[in-house]
Amino acid sequence: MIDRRLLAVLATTGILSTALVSLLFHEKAGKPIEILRQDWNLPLDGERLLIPTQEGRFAYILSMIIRRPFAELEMRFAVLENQSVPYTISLDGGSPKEKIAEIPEIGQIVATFQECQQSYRTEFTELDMALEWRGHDYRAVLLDMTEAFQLLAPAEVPRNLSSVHAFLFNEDGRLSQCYRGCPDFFIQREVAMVDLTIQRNENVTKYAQRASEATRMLPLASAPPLGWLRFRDLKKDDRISVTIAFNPAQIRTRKALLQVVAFYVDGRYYDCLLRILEPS
Amino acid sequence: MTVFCESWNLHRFGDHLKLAPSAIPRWFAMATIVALVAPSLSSDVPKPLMLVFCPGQPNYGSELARLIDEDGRVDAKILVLQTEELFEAMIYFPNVKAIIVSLAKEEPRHFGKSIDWFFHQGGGVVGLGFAGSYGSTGSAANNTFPLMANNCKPGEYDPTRKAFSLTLIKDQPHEVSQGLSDFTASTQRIVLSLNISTSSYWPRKPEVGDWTVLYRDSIYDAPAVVAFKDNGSSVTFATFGGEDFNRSYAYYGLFTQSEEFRTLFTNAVHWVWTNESRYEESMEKAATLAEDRRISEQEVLGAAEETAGRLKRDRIIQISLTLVLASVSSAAILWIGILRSLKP
Repeated sequence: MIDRRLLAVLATTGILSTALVSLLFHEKAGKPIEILRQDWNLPLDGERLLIPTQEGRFAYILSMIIRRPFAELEMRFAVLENQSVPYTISLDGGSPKEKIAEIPEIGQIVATFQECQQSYRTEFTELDMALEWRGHDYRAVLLDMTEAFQLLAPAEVPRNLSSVHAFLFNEDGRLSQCYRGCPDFFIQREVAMVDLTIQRNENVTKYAQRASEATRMLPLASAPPLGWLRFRDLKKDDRISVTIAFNPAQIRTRKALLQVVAFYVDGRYYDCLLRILEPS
Repeated sequence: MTVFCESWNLHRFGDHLKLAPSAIPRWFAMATIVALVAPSLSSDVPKPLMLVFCPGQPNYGSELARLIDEDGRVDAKILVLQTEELFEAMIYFPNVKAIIVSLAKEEPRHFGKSIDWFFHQGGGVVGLGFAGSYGSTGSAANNTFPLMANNCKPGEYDPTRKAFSLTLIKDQPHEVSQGLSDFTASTQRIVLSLNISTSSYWPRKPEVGDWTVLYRDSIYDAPAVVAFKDNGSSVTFATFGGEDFNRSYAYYGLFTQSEEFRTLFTNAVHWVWTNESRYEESMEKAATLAEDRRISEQEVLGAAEETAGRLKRDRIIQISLTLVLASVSSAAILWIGILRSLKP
């Protein structure tokens, strides 16, 4: 017969160790969101994403899971067009921000915005991140002036205003690429986008170029303006996904595009994803 | 392609004190840049903004800005822009008080609706060259730069000087043309509303607003300078769309030296500047909207703090319950298994 005292000691040890493990190894509230998938079904040339020229439906899928509860998640999409790099920029010395200040027009606009910070709260977001492209490291500086223009403009206007700028600096600190564009899910929403699906858990909202009640699809024009998606009261294990599909034959530009997805958690910047899409 | 983000430093201006410690060195760097690029940052209220848009003709844009500055009657920060996309975006910026648009060539532009919006809001606008041409600015050629021009015609060519000129004849009296008389300017062409069948000026004027012809040209009798006041104020020149290329017939240097042009242009700028009614209202509206947004951000932050507080409370309760249950169950087992057996 097993000794009752031994059993009691073993049971007590078991309980106490379980409690201790539960307290010490409690899941830490780390990252609020985890990106599960983020890809384009575009043709690849090595690691380069190419925009085909033919008709078709090519989609970008972004899905994520919420790891801890929080109040608000905002995702801001933008697709920017490549611009020629100004030749007046000094090649050597100076930080990226000093070089941006040298860019004709952009530098003046930035300075104007900064001056206006003093009189009223102009929202002007400036992000600085690393980016790897074609095997080289770049430093990307993103300026988003959308909110300053949004203050007074009629609702339908800001979508078409070039209020987001990105500058890529190579490892030597030289300005290598400039991008400019409008905040939206994709460029030329009215013509180039085919459909858009936004899903939170079981709730799915679909927008399409050819909307119909039968397919429960809403017109693309009614999709969130500026490509800003806002989710409130997020619970642990909530799943969010966004699918953006476009028809490359409808794109009016043959320039490289920079896709930007910026995440704001509880009103504060959290992370940003950048992708360069190149013309084939 | 791998995209990796280092710890981001979000600079929402006005929010600097909330930066994470890791962001502080960059904040210092940025502060230096701000000091370099914005020397007037120390003044609390920035000067109202005047946009000068001269696509493809940066020198002419700078010359117009210089003339305004030299005149001294308008206390503005002048921003000379060449890129249409940037210009159109800046039209919606709250502290823009007046806009100067000079188009040297006729080509379709996208900003027409935006400039109409600005004018409708009460803004002050000066247009030169093809600004008043429907083929360039669309609806703005009717609503903001009301020349309703559908064509352009050359001035008089002088083979000895190898230059075009237009003689402007004074028409209705106006504050802008006060003290000036008829004059001849070395300018290449004039945009006008043309009756194609007769190849002559087709008189047209807007149905609303106060439309005053200040000058007419001597060849076609078409309006050469028009002042217009509706919600906003505008002065439109049917000519003077200057080009930078100094051998062009439309080279700006051919007419910017003329005293009449300088006076007329600076008077026009001063008139729209003093007659606009947008600035005060838009600044107030911007401040209100910014305050609304700040409140809404505070609400989000409040909700975030509430969520964080709830999580913390839940965790304390969980810890307490775990400790209590573990202690009680251990005590019970020890009592039943050991202490009770020790009793005599």
